[in-house]
Amino acid sequence: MSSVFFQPQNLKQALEYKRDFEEAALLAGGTDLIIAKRSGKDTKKGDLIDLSKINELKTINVYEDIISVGSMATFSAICDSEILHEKVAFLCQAALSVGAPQIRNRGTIGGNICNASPAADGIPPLVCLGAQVNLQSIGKNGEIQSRTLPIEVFILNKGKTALKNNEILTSIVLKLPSEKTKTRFDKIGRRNALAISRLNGACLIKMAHDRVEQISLVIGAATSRPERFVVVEDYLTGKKLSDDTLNEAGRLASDYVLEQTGRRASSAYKLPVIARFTEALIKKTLKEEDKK
Amino acid sequence: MMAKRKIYDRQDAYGKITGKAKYVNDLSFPGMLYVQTVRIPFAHARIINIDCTEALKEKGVVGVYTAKDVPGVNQKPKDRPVLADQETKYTGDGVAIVVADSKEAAIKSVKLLEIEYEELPFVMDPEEALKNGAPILHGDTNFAASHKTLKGDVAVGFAEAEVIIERAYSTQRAMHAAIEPDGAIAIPDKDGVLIYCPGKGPFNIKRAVASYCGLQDNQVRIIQPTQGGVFGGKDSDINVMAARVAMAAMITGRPCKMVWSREEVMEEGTKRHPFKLKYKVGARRDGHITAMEIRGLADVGAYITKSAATIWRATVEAAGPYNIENISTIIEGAFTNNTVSDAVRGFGSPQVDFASESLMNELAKELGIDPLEIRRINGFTEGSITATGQKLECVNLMACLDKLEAAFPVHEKPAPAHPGKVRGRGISCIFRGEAMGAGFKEKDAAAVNFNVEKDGTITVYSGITEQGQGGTNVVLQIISETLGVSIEHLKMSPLDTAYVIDSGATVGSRGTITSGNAALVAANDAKIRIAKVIAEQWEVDSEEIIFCDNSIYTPYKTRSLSFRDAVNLCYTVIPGVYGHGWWSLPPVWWDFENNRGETYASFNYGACGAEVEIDLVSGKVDVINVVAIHDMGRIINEAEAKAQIAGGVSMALGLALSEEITTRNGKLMTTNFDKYSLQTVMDSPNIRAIPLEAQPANNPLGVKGVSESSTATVSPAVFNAIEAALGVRLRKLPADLESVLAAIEESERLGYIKRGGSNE
Amino acid sequence: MKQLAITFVLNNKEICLDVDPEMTLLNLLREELFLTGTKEGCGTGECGACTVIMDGLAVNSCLVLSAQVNGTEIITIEALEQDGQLDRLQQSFIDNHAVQCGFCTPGMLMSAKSLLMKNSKPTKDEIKVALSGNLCRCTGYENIVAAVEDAV
Repeated sequence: MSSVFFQPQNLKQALEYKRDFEEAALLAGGTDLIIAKRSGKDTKKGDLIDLSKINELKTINVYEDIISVGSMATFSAICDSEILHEKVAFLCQAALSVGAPQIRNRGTIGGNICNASPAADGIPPLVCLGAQVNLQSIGKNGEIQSRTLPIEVFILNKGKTALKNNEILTSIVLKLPSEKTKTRFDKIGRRNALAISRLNGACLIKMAHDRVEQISLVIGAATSRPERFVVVEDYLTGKKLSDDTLNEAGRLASDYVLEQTGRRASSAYKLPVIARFTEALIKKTLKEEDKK
Repeated sequence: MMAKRKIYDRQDAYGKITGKAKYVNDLSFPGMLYVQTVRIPFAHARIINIDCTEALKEKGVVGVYTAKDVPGVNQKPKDRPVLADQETKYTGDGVAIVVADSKEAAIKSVKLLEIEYEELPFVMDPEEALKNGAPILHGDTNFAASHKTLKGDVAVGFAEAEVIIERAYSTQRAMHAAIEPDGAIAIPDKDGVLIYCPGKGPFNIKRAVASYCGLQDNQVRIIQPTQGGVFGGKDSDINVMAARVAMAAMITGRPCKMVWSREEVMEEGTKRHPFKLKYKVGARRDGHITAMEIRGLADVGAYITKSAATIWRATVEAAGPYNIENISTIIEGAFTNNTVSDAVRGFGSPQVDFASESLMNELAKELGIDPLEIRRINGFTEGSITATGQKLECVNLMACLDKLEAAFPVHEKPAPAHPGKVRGRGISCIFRGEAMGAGFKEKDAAAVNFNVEKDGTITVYSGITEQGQGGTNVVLQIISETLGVSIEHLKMSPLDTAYVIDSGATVGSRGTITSGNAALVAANDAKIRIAKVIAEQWEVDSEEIIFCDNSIYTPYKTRSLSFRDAVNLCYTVIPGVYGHGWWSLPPVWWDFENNRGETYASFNYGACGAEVEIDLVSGKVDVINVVAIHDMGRIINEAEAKAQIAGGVSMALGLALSEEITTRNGKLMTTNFDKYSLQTVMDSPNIRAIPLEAQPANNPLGVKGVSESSTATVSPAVFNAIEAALGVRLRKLPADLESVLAAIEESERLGYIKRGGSNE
Repeated sequence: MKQLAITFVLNNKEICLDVDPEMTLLNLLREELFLTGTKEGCGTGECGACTVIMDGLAVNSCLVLSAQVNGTEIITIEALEQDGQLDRLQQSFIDNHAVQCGFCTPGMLMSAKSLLMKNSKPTKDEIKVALSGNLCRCTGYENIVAAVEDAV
């Protein structure tokens, strides 16, 4: 029997297809899926559900202190969003760092999350912000069911998420960071465009006078999934930021990664660079302009 | 007397900017079949059985063919077969072809072939390949080729030296990466085959296909569509590809097309020879080099192709453009189960120049002499004698160095970098023999012919291929200027081996020298022929007649005719108006026994300055500025010359910083452009390309070639800049994140730079 | 896969087609619609040779499935020359010696065109970013950037 290409025009239709064809793959921007099919990595020969016509999944909204980003929002849309620039600049910095314009015009934040690459650029800022993902499905009776998971819980491992076979990730929800927080995303690649991150990182920091009141730090492309470097955060909270404390923060970050991954071929490069990069990222974050 | 030349529009530009130009993959013929190559995913395998039963059942499949179906000579000793017969020597080696009525069917069917094979021991390192007990690819040893030069007595030279240093350098496996993948279409004829394919040597492809397919040379016809980049490739890859489609066409009686995916280009396509080089150099304290000993090993990969010639070029140039009395160079090549190494832009020069120009800076540092100064002290001048005993003419090295000093702040330290970064500047210079050189037996010649139509327009045939470098436009320009006919009235014909005289391959930067001069001969041939007819009519001396502004006239315009009317007049007197010309470089020679000779008829010189900025956190090197100076003799088209130089710099930056083909356990890891990183526009420095007219070269046009030189100067200039920034020397291409970080850590340990700071 | 009927606007003309949904837009253009100006360089979105404009945005057509083209507006290189008149960008590429082998050229022009459609006075940096997904092996990029600057 020939496989089918579904092109739902609204979310309800998409959920119904997903309910009735659980094995169908979800097609978002295509920048990961199509490549996987070409290389033979995606061996699922089956139905496709195309989400690209579902406008309700593309919106970016702010309501009170909550930002909701539709899962089909492209990296370009995120770059162009004034509200995101204003409130969570590092998410836009991350989006801008992805590939190249052609990729950004198609790649979606939802696709980036569900692909769950350890080197994903869109994920570290979201983890920093403690973002939640909305997952929806539709029952036999036509009732839409939703559940929300913290993104750190949703992403299980390299290439693996907690998405159920009948679910679609519909939006990413984040609480606006408080006033006076500074954010920054940075990445190391082999060239200045079309580059996969060798390392990347997102940092959110709020200072109280000259001490760290709050810090959220994610170093990506280092462990099996982007995660908060709690050991570094705990160390820095309440401290003054000097060359020595930053140095120590870097060392802690590096040691943490070694603990998580063990020594690898890439460790000779990555471990020392994680230490330097962590220091540099925090310093750069402090230099960012205050959030309005 | 050379007038200042005008900038001409390229004739090929219109087709390219509208998308109308047809490249091989844009062509389609009625009844066309699609051919896919089958390969074994192992580095060295003995083919036991190929079972096509399931594959043949796939809808649309017309046939599956193997080595036994190759109509002619499947393989010359140690060289690439059309299809591997008993053994595959690398993962890209084709073992069968599937022919189907759609590409999808062919691709599907490939997966259905059942191939029984035995995994054989494989060797990926050339040093290991030469040791006893290594798996052997051809014959009874993996030794593939070797060349040497010997001048003077290095023992004496080293004895005279007050300082001796020894260094080892290595270069990576890289590739052409033309944006257009390789492809070919064969159309069967009643007694032969017509092939549409790109390629740098259509006449070579013709002969290769004839041999592979058991045809006479005159039964194979190659027509070149527009080409999407060559860079010294589209060579033996096209030979085997064209043979595969030709045999499929001959067997099926239908047009057959094969175009490689990028993954196939990476897997089966040829690559640049990686080199390992050991240099020992001795010098007096005043900077004069007294001796140089060079030993090298090139990774030939699975088949021989042009490795012997590549190694020969590298050997004769390895000592650099320096007056050294005592030189001993031996470079060998070894077979390995890696992809085939073959010609790539530069053909051995970029590898040895990386080493020798890095070495010059290392020597300068050891002696406490300025890097520019040490090059001036030792550099070639008019009449210098090379490593092979050749006396040089038209030597413009000092002119290039003078220009470098004027155009690039060689002696100044860069402005302080931002915190967390350091900057450095480095230079290099090279000499490079042009065209085929003494390694090739055939006459190094090219031909240009043209017919003048009755409406005064001109149809031109040239044997030099248009690869994007603007080579065919140069030919048109010269004919246009000589005959005084507007270039819009000239049209270059597609290169068709049925009509164009074999002009050799478009390689070695020989295109402008040979075809440009051939065009001049052809244009003068026509001019004389036309002038003779008109002179008789006008009863004047034919030498008085002026060709200008689409007209022909006597001085003071006492008699005049439009070019078109003059041509029509000629048609009443002689049967057709045409120009024929060929031109060859003076012969050169190589004594294979004594390893001496005149290696090339012409040499060009170049110098480069590079400024880098290094990120001390990541080890990322950004090149900020490059000044590239190239000795061109006479510049025919300045804008195109600058564009060529800039393109060569860009390609060379990839070699210096980001490009590397890697394997693991015999398997290719760089399978597409996600892993094989070309430089993007965001990585591009300010490039100041300076084509230099120091003195005309020794040919009627006075031109030199420039296509390859800029690929050789950049890597050492960048690595010298990195050394200036970090105080630590890198000796392995490329300067990737990992190796630069290691250098940064070393530099901090030495106290040259402060962690997190900049140098000073 | 079962064929899908799609309707879209291609170079200002409406087209209705039955397509193999999984065929890429690149192959749809080249093989089914015989518009060979758009090129395949890598098939994985890493070189930009296949760039077309989709709903005003530059995209790699090798990474768009035919079915997704339904209801969209596509512009390819073939649309730039109108009634024998070259687009300003095209003329600028010729004038600035920005074309060598030409294989990257259609993609470069479409990336540049999509930039100018959104931003009629881009800075040099904005031009470079717009071209950052298009690889060129021949020119070293400078003439291409200059050509776009000149066409502004």
